[in-house]
Amino acid sequence: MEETMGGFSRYAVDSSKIVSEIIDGEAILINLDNGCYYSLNQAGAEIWTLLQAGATLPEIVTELAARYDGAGVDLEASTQQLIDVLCEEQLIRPKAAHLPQDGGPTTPTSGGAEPKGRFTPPALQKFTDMQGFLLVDPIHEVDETGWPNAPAPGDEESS
Amino acid sequence: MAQPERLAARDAVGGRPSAYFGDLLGGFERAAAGRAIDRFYQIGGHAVRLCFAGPALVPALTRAFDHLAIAPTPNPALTICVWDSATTATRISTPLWRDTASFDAEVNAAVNEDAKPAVYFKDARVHGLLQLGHDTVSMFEPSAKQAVFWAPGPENIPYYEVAGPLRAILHWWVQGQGRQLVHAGAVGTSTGGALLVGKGGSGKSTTTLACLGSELHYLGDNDVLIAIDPAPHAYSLYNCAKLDVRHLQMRLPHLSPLLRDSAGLYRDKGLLFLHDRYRDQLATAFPLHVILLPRVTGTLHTCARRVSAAAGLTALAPSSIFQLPSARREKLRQLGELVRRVPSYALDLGTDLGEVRDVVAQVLAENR
Repeated sequence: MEETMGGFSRYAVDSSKIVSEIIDGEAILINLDNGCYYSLNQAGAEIWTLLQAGATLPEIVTELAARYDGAGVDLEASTQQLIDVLCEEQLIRPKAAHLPQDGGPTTPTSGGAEPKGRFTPPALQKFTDMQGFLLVDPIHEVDETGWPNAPAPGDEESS
Repeated sequence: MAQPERLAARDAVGGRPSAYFGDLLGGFERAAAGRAIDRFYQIGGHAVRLCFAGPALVPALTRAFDHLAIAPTPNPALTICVWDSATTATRISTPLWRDTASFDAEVNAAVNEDAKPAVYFKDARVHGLLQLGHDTVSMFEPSAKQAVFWAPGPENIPYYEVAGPLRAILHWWVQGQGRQLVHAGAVGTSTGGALLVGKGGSGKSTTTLACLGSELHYLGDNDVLIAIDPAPHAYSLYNCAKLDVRHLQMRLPHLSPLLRDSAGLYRDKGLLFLHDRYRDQLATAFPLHVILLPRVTGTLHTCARRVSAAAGLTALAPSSIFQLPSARREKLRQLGELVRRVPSYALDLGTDLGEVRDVVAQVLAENR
């Protein structure tokens, strides 16, 4: 059962396999399990940070509306779109209901008198060139007598 | 391909890697029989002792460190015991592979260049890496400042181990010394230098080798140690550059004699040991002033332009993180800190290598 707030999910990052770093407002995310890595532009990095803090979709939209001039942009749709992609890429997943509450923001933490910048929709770029480095099944490289005895030619299992 | 179930058994360590480390060290003592051969090197600012059980592996595993050789010292920060079974007529104990079923094991092919899989394992005391295909073992015990490298015989030492010996052990060890091993090249002077980052084929080696003969000295072309605090610094690790032989002969023909020097040491792999002919052109350490992201363009001219710190991190972090196992989260954090402190530039490489050299020098001059 997913943890929700008014029917909207909160999300969790599996920190055992996803690492991230925010640099000058942009984010780099790395999936240690499959070698894929990603860059997020400024809006994407802000959404990522809010998701990590436990914010739901409406909470993120409220926060973005306080920070940006979103005229002509559907903040909710572009945020939802990014959340969908992050889920597809298994960078986040809806939190299970039994997990402890992180306490996401319910009111905007930004805003006020400062002029707002134009909102540029979030963009996620995916890189896969590291995948070849990872996860080769070694069982086919040894025989049942154990490492370091190499298998006889032709003994390897097919997969 | 489905991951084998036994490799997912991450919580049943049981202490056996430590026991195996003890077995390998015991094997070393028997193999050396009191006649060990010592070599000392200054690596990342610290003294490291390589202790060989016999002469067979000495040439292959020391030549890349020649530029870092120091006189014997009584209290090295790390001792690496190196031995092989074939030339010392000393067997290892139980084959390790059976035991890895319950190790905290991670399969990782990133630690070498010929896609031979490796298995990383550890327990509370030790780190270990089995390099399958070549059947070598590297293990490190931080608390004892001791490591062991074992090979079945000299013929099991692959060319990339000759070009960059004992990488896994050094990767684990330097983390405790406030250093990180990164996938990068570096050139510069004693006052400051550039880190060249990017995946294989991006032009790191060509750029660093193009600087030989100029005021910019070679610190490394593929593996470099960095420190973040108190200020970003680079340390040389190996004096061996690797370059495609045809590319070398076409673009840097004046370096071809180095291939002859490497005869018998994987000449076809384009290993260039720089210490003998270019020892005055090698830097062992310098402050880091810029990060360059080389890219081959095919055009004549070279130009550099400032890019975001995030672009620098995206070029530097993934290959540095995936090449060797353990402490990846901390490594990303430290590399993030590096790109925050050191400006990044895209370096669009032209075909005129003299101009490449000049542009690198110019960017460095602008960032003193």
